[in-house]
Amino acid sequence: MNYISLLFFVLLALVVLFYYVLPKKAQWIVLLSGSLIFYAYASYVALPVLILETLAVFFLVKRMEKGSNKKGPAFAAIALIVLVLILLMYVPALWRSTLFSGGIISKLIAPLGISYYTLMMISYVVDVYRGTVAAENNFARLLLFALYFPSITQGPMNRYKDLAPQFCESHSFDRRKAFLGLMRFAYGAFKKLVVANRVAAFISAVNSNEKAAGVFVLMDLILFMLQLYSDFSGCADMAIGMSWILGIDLPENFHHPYLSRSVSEYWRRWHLTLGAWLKDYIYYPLTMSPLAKKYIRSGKGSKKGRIKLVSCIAFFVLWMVMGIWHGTGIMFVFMGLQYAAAFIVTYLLEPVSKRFAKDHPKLEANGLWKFWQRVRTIFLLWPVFLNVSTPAKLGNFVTRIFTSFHAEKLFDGGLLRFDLSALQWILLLIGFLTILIVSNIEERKGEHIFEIVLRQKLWIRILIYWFAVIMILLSLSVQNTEFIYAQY
Amino acid sequence: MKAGKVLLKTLLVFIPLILVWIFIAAFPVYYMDGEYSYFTQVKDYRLGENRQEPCDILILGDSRAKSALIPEEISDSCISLAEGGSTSVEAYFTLKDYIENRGTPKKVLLSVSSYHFTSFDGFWTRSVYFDFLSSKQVREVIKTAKGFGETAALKEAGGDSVLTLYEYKIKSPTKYMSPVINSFGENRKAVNEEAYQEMLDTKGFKSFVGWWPTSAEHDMERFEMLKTLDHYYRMIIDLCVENNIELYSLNAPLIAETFEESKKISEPFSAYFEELKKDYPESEYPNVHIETKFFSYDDQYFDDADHLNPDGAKVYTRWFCDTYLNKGGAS
Repeated sequence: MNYISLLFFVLLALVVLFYYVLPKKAQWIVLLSGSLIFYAYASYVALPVLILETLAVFFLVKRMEKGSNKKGPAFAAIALIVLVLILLMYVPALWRSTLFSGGIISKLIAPLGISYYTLMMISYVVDVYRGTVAAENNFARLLLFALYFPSITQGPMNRYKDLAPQFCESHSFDRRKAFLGLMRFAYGAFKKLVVANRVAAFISAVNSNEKAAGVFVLMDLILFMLQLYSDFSGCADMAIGMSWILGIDLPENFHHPYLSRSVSEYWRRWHLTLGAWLKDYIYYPLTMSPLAKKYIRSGKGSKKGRIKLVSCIAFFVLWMVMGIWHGTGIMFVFMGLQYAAAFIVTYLLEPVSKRFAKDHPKLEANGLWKFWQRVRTIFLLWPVFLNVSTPAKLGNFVTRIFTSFHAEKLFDGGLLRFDLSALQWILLLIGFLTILIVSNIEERKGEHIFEIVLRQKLWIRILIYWFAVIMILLSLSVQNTEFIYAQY
Repeated sequence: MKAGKVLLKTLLVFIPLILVWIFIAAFPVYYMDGEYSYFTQVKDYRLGENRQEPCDILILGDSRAKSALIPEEISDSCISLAEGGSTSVEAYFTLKDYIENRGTPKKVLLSVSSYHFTSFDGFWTRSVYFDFLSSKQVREVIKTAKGFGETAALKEAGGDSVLTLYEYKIKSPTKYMSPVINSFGENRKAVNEEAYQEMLDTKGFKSFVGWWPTSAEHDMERFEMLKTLDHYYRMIIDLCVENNIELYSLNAPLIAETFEESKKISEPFSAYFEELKKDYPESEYPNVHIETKFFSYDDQYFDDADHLNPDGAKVYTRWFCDTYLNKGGAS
């Protein structure tokens, strides 16, 4: 069920209605019912599997909390969660790509949000193991945490300690928050419909045309970044917005990542909840492990060098996990390698760049230099491997860029042959500029655009709303594609 | 008072949406594309909502039927109610509505191509989209498809639930913004009115100039018939039998260029008609004439790989008249 569909609006409206009309004690039951309906509609075959898995984790974690041997149940719970992910996501995909491509296994489709579900459940088990949260006593509430419908599709990835307590609270209808939520939801829809879907139409047309000139292939690769951001952050905005309507706060997932001036800053701005998860459950456990500590304390070489080596290994593992988490193809391995390389190189060069910044304070404040840093960061983390499905295709793309670029085709009407008319390109440009302006305002003011809009005079607000409504309306003519991250 | 103010502000915010919605619902002729007028003309005619007189002979089916049979060559009292992208579903409801609203025709010429036995094709994107079928009829089709376990095929054509139907029925901008945008800068009203008039003048006959470079049979991998579409085809036959209508189940000619490779489709399709003929033997059903064979015409008789041009239509219509209507000449 797409967030931008009549069916979903009906479901959301009913959930909101019952949520505030029924006694407050029943609010979490309304959310659970909504989540189960949402999930069953998307993947009714997978729902019982995830319910059973959550039930098993529930009991294992209870046992872990009460028993003296914590490691056994914790290991069993994590093994179970990972095993289900492997069986439902990786095995069918690998099966399809091998000689045994037929049969029932190849027909299995990964359940909606299984990757997010997996990471959230692992974090729950580990947090209880570490003693940072108490185990949930109510299975249904744990199930709600696992399948909470606004974020199950593609995040933000919730932590049990942040989300579960909110299910136990009573939420009265807060008109201001609900209105802010509505605006945020609309802005998410704006990003998705006005920008992401249009770029998707262009990219799909270029990808399916093996004779497209290199200039369009290059545009395809560049515009994919815009699609990925507007699609992914748009969905996060919608998830956060609908949760605000319900009085629930979800973690932020994006903070204008394309304004980042370094690779490390980029990961403090992009897919924040995944970054935090990787840091807490992969990077720290690796760098703080007894083995790492023992190595750092050992007398071989300089201590700084040993710390750096441990960090580099941890970075490598972390980014490979991140790559493989996205899927089974070789391109995801390449993506992991790309990010690992970018991170490790910038980490090792950090002292040099810091010294450079200290020695050239004027340059650091220069707008052109900042712009260059942003372009460099984007280039290093260019999500090429998410866009192009096979190495052969990538090779074909690169060949076309270098052998048949044909820049003149941009101006002889060739651009309009890829599913977007001149009007659609203009609307896409307006959408892109809107996102850019909003990002810059939010960055400078340090607050959400919605708060700023609410402080404006009525007629200005009305004009802004009309602009959004008209842009969204004009974008309903473009085919609404599935959210990109819903497949991971 | 406070609630009223909130409501007023909300209405103010959504003024553009309200205006666009009203435009979509009230003025389809100003933005609808291509075939809207063709479907509207057939709908108006079968429901008795335009000035055309009822006819004795009806042509039903898809675009191949529309471009292959010339009503005026068959009879003065003949009209084509075939529509592009239509299957037996649309043909059935057209005939049923016609009988209910205009009376019983004497003859029905029915021709649905093999592709339209394997896909619901334009069910959502034309028939529901152009409001060609009533809600009741669409609900019935959804129910039937569900009964046959063919929801996936229905979904592939654009939807599988009643909710999708109502999205069209309430003229949701999610479904209709595309033609609105595409109509910018074009005088769609004039184009649509002209197309409607053309349908009145030609009595529903239409050539499809140069649409498809290869035939549907050429592009199809295999012939996998949908039970729902077989069910409605049989319902048309039953309806004709019940009302004592002479039925001619025909197969429009295929293009010679790809005739041989089309056999992977035309042969099992032909076997289907053999089966149908066994179920409706002429000894028991003298009014039911089922053509089982497929034949090809030279490329010169085709506008594109799927549709006959007017010359081809003349040859085919003459063949039909010679073969079935008193052997030579219009009746």
